[in-house]
Amino acid sequence: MTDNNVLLSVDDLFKHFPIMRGVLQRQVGAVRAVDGISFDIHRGETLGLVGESGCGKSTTGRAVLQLHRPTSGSVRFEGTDLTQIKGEELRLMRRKMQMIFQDPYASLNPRMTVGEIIGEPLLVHKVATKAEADERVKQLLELVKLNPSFSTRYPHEFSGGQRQRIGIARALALQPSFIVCDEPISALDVSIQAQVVNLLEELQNKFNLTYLFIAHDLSMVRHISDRVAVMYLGVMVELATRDELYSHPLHPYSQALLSAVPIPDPVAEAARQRTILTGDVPSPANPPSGCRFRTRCPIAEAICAESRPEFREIRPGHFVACFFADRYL
Amino acid sequence: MSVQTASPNKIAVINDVFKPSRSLGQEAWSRLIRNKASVAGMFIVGFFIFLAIFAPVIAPMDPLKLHSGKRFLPPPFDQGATNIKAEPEFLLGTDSLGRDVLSRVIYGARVSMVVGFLPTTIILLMGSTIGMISGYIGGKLDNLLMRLTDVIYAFPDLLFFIIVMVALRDSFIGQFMNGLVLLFAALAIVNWVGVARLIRGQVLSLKQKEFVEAARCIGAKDTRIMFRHILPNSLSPLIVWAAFTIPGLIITEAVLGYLGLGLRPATDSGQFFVTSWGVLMLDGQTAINSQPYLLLAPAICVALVVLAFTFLGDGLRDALDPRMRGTQ
Ligand SMILES: Nc1ncnc2c1ncn2[C@@H]1O[C@H](COP(=O)(O)OP(=O)(O)O)[C@@H](O)[C@H]1O
Ligand code: SF4
Ligand SMILES: [Mg+2]
Repeated sequence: MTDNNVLLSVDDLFKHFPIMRGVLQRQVGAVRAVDGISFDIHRGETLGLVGESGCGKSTTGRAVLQLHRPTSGSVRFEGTDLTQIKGEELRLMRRKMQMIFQDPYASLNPRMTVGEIIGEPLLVHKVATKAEADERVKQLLELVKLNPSFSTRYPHEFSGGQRQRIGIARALALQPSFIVCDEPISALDVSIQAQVVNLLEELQNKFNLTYLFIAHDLSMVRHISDRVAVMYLGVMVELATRDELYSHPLHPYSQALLSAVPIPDPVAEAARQRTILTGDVPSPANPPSGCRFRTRCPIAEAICAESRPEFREIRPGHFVACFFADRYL
Repeated sequence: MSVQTASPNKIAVINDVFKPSRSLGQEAWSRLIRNKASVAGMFIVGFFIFLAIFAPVIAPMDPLKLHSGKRFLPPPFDQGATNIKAEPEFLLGTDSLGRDVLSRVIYGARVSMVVGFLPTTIILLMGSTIGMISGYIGGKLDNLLMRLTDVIYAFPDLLFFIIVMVALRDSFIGQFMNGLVLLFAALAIVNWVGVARLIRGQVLSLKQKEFVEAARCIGAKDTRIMFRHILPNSLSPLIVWAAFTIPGLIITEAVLGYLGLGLRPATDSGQFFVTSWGVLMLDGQTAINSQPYLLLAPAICVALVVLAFTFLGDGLRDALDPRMRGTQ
């Protein structure tokens, strides 16, 4: 990983949540929310991270930012392994990496004004005086296309889309280079989803931001992503450039997700072959042996239950974890 | 990178800019004052606080002065069964020693108000500090503290008060300020556990909230997260808790006074606490048949104050969290 262009490099990341039972709170098992994933993110790019709800996307984002300390693995950010630093050192690193949250209603403190929320990062890191912070808050509000006079108002006075913009302004306050966008548009009205995505894209161009953009279906990340990673039950099953993934998905799970995305052309829509996902996602506390996807996979064979398919580079830059991926090449 | 200003025509003005901005607290207040019972409760509580503070000015007579030859006077408005003639200046009559009942009841408000508010403040500080630490730090410390609250919770309150009062009443601390300090300490020891559990539950749920995570993400330190993010969002249940607990404390003091375990009688009227409603009820019950007002007057005051706080608590609960309407 000597590539200069790599901003973030995640290697063999695990995050298990212990399951405690009984009066004595003994550990009886673990939720294997993230179970050994590796990927790089290049400077200025957007990596889309897609998978059904509960497959570990948010946990990945939080483990990368050290909001959940990883169980094992490394997260190198600009050469520093974040898993090895703590306390003040980690706190200072936080200036460079921020997060935009899924729920615009839960992610803003209801007792603080918009100005206090957006200005807090500046005061916490003492990079601005109170007066400078007020001025910066106004600029940031304009940047996310909200009225600067909103700074004295409280979050409950705003709509979901406006709140999400406030969250974006807070994330931008410290001028980070990397932002985890955890389903920033999933909770929003369809009519304003595009506005928020466009805003994020505009900000990315303006400030050369790098995004890890999480979504639960492939249609939401198509527009903004440079590369797309597909996650299933704590593991990564496919990773490729956007165009490659949408035109030649090699993993049966990616294919299934993609066939859920509507095609605007009705003729093509009617003609295409669909892979419909049946059944529920198994529990991450007790995942299937071998390939995690085998319980729902339409082409599974005996070997899929016995061993775990390697996450291999089947074509330059195209990684997939399936024994039979070559069939679709 | 520098922040550039977006051109004004791009600024989305979706909200009405001219609408006055109100915090959640201000909105709760406006809901509260629309609740008639709560407003009545506030006025009653305010009235008794006023009595307590200005008792020397309001009380028509010295509450300790023995009016010789004027014992057991009935109130002028109700001669009752006695053949002793009422006198107009003693509006509620006199007690067995010839002291003015009205003045004594007015002075009695002092103890009830102080017993209502002061220990509550101590309990809130103590309980929320422990609950906050327990919930935020978690682990073994949390386990230890919560088992301690279980023990205190399981012990019958009144029995505890009686044991403490009987054992320590004659000690130095028991005599300090007519015994009020000992009473406060006993009330605090029993009641902090409720607050601690309440706050701990709040902290545990707020800790999971995205805005707390966002605060950690921007690099806020633990103390800031506790005081700026978690505590302000835990205040509503605390305020409601206080409104429902204060009448409980007032009743406890009255019961202890009635059992003869409350305040010691004051020796001169220069003292702040002259008597309490509980002590007055104890005095009054001896003459319940001939002199019902000796018991009724303080009892009605206790009932009124308790009712007022309950109305206020109901209103506060609805106002602070409209989703809680009609529960408890
Ligand atoms: N703090 C936590 N404690 C225990 N289990 C958790 C925690 N956070 C997430 N999980 C579990 O980890 C799994 C992955 O969750 P998450 O990362 O939120 O999924 P996604 O964001 O893809 O919907 C889920 O089964 C979830 O229940
Ligand atoms: S490895 Fe087997 S079960 Fe897994 S996706 Fe490929 S075919 Fe399906
Ligand atoms: Mg999620």
